[in-house]
Amino acid sequence: MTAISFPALVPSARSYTPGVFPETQFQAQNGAVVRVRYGNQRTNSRLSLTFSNITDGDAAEVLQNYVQVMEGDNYAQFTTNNVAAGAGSVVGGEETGLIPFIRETNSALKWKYASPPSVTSVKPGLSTVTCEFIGELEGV
Amino acid sequence: MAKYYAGQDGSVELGGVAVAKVVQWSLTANTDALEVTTLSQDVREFTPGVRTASGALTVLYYDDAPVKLLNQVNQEPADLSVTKLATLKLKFDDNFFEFDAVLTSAELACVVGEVMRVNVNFTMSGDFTSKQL
Repeated sequence: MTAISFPALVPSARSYTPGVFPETQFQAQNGAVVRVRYGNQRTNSRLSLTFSNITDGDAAEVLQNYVQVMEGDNYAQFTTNNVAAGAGSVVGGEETGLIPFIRETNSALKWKYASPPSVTSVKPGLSTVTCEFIGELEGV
Repeated sequence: MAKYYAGQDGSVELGGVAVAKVVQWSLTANTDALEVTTLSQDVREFTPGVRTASGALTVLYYDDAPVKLLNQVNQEPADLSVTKLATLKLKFDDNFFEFDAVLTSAELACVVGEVMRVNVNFTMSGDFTSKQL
């Protein structure tokens, strides 16, 4: 499994959900709930990114990243200078704020594309790109 | 002394033919502002988008002065001079803007004590074909 760096682009909109702990719920007739937990790690976190009005060249870099990540057993890697920019800071080498979640450095999750990126042409030379990522447990 | 322009310098041509009895014309040029602000910025940033222009002109209903304009607005099939797009030339002295436009509306106003007038609105199609400022 190889980490593929995401292009040096800062999103204009970002949405994150931390995923769930795998479990099954059983509810008795009196309403009591019993949960059977299958793991102690989050899975299926979600990250939606929008890059508004970027150049067609930058949009092509995102598409190329999609191909590189999905053509093999790879995953996308983000940095505090691109996707996680503005979500916190790095103090003494320690990531603060939302950065550990956005980068999933506080879990065993790896970012894969949940669906192909969507490119909307705005005007000649400019496009808006949206990406959907899913955090999957790998090698655990 | 610096040259200035006044209403008496203004005129309008439709399809290369001067429109009589023009009272006023106006032209507004716009450029969309496309937002390119990213999540690492706390001040909004923009880049130029698509350009447009639109405007209006007013003609006194004196003889048949505004008839060609009204036919153009209505796309009158009986008038063989009517085209899909109107070629407008807004002039002031020797300066001008020339462009193709869709005449989008016409408003006829008949008021006691005033000469009947026609207000025509237009939206430019494409870029200016020529201009001199």
